[in-house]
Amino acid sequence: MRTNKIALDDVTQESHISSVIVFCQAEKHLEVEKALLAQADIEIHGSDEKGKFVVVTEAKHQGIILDRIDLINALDGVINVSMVYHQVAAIDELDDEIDQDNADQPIAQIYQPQMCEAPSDADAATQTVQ
Amino acid sequence: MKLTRRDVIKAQAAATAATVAGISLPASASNIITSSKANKLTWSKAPCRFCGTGCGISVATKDGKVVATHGDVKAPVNKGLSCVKGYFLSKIMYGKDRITTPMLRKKDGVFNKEGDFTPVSWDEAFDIMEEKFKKVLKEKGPDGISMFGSGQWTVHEGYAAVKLMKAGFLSNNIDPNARHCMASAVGGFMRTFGIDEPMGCYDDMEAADAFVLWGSNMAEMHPILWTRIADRRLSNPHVKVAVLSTFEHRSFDLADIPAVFTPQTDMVLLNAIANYIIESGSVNQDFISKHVNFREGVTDIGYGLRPTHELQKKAKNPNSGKSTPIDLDAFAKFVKPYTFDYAEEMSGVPAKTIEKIAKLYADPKIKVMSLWTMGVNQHTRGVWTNNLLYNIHLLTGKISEPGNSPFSLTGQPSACGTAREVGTFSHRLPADMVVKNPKHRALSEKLWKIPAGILNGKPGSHAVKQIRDLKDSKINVCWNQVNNNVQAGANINEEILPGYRNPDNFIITSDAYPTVTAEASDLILPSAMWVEKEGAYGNAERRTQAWYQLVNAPGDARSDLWQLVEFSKRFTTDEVWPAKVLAENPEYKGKTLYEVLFKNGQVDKFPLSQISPDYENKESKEFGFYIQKGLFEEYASFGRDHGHDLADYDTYHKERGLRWPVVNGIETKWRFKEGSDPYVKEGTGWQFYGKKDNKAIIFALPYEPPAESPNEEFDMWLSTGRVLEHWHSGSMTQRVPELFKAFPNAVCFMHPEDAKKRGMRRGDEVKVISRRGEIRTRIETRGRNKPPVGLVFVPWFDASQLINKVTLDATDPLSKQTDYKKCAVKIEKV
Repeated sequence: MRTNKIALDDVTQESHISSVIVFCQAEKHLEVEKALLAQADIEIHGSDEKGKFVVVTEAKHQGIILDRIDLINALDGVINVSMVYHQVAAIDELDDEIDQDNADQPIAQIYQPQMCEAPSDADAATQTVQ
Repeated sequence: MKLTRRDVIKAQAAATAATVAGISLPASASNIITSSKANKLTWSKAPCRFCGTGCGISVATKDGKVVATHGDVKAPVNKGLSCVKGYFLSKIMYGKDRITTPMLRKKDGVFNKEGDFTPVSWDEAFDIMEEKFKKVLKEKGPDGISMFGSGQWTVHEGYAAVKLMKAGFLSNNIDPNARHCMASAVGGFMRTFGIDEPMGCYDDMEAADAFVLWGSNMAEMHPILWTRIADRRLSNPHVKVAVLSTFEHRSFDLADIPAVFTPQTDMVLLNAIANYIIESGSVNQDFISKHVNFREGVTDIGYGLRPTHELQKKAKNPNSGKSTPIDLDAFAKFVKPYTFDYAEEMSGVPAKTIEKIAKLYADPKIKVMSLWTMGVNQHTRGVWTNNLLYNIHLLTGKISEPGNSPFSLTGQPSACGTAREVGTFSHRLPADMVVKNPKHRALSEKLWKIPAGILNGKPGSHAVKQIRDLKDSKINVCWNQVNNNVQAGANINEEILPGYRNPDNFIITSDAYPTVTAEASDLILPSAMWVEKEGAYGNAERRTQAWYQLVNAPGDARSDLWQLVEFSKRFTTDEVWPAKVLAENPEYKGKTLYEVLFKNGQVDKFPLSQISPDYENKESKEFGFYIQKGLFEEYASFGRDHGHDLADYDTYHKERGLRWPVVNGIETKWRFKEGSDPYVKEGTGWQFYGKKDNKAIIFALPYEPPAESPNEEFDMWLSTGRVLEHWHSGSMTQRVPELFKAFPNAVCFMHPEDAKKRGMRRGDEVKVISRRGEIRTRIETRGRNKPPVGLVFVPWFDASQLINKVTLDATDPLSKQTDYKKCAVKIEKV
């Protein structure tokens, strides 16, 4: 009987883009920000100036993303890293330029996925994790 | 400004996280205008496929594949967050070794038990299954066949399976792997409350002042719920967290009150707390006088081993769940010997620590939530320990209110929704009914539209007994779906493998990947998984959630639902029902099981036009009716007006789940409490309506020792469990390479002093040996799990190191759930 074989995926054609929320002690916000900026391949896309950051990272293999999360977790002052978004894309499409003549959608709105049927639970939408 | 597709995806990733975090992005980022075509994804909702928490996931598809996922911001359970398992859900379906065609062991072109796996058509696969089923049914009757299912079955699949086995083949030999994880919890609920599943819900986590973890390691096993508790603790300084376990693990990081106890002595601690509540005058007299009965249970009930086992022969009242009524005074006398000093002596937990925990329960001003899973359930006194936990909440009246909540956590995504509510256990019928009760059978026969008196009233073989029956040639055909029992079941060498390879037996396994169970079988059926089919799950807080089929399964892989229903076409009533029943009910004669079970005017009631036009639904299109809706509505008819009300099926496609009972479209957050549960009458306060007199039961039950304890030769306790990155036996998570990388091989966690005593060092290769078997592994003296002196912990996900060759198949005599948490081993250097 053989044991579970691990299927390693072909990683050369794919790229992984992920976002996480980094939580740190409020008083260490600036230090953590500096430490994050010093990391290669980590982009800060936003923060509340009080201990929360939105971080985006891209890698050819999502294992590398996990390593980066470990790295962030190990920074002094970081309490927790919460995973949010993960997308796999074909690597050769990522540099395609977007035709902005047909622009119709502000980025601010695309985070609200258009479900085929709208939820009726209006309250849930207003809850966020503090 | 030039924008690339990369920029758009990154902006989307950032915007999603910003929403979850409740922070706004700089105007420069949010004002970017782009084309919706730039990252054109179709988003849908689905519950996560992994654990019993039931997180909502937003799933994006593109060109027929799942390409992106994120925590559903609108899901009340996880509010947009994801744990590492859910984070990479896009990958679980695309492992390279995905099974895409049926595979039969063949030699010289025909089935041979010693042959090699050979791809075959579905027709050929069903032909051999039909032949084997018919042969066994003819020779041995319904008791000769069995099905082993799962808490990962969708509601529809579990329901179709139970109907096929119990109403079709008239066999009660169907059990879910939930037997290994939740059976003791079910036993505890039924004994104390007469109705299954938690009364409270996750909202309790934002209302409680104290959390007590009984053996559970939520930080790793229920990380999203742990985030909610950590959030509550960190933003409210008065909140206390107590973590009790037989070894130190990651949840201890947040513990205000940490406690490591000797295995099995949780029972002593619980009785000591009950004693303290009484002696300190903290009993809620008004509550217990109105809502509680006291009973004393019989003792010395054995260890659920084979009747021939020494320990079983020694027991005075093997397998007895009997009890007699007593009163509070008698109960007080019963728990009196459980002083803090005695509890310290037995458990190793300092009396002062026990007192701190006891006060969380005794102080009427503190709202307390107790949480537990496998530590309490996989326990030779699991049902008792569940009862003892409810005792301390009932004595103080701390139950069914926001924050006051004894909460039994769940392991699998639908252990509640499918395994328990649908009734896929060998003794159960839908909606908490049991096969033994003639009234329950009569109602089921009516709702299923099958002849009166036809259902089998004798409970079938439960999970462990099925395995023993296979070895003993009492069961000769077994069909596994969505489980990996050769890895997960206890005592593999002596019990499981001999049963699988017994030449009398034919074993079928439906799975998406070649697990050790699939490979030990004779026929493998390729299954569709998660969003490759429409389905519904029910999580630990009674939340039922549905999803649509979002992509097609690869190759010939088909859903378990299709497999079950399609196979039912192969049998006629004349072949499987008694001639007498057919003579009395001639209208059923000559019909296929498909016709009497699924084309019965109910399951086929909803036309294809009711399927969502936006989604594929492979099974329905093939059968010609909306089968998921038909099955769900027929199933829901069992529970409506009986305290298990479900909403109409279409509602679940719109909602992020609803917690049952759902009455007049409104879900129930706290059961049994006036004002929050529509079944409780005005003016009563509480009604535990699972019991006829509306009273819950406090049970007087003593500490009894485990089946096996360390001795001179086997001088260590062995406890097993899982780690965050691997879900159960790892058949899915090990397909996600980075999860595998995070924790590549199982190790034996050991205290540095124990290693030193044996002249061993971290990283040394060792054998973990019990009376039953041994495995090789490596010593880990550091890291995430820190056992006390005298105990080792080995995770069980690793198929190359099957720790269950070592474990003992002792079970709780009442729930028949295996105790994977304690047996005696010795450790030797290789």
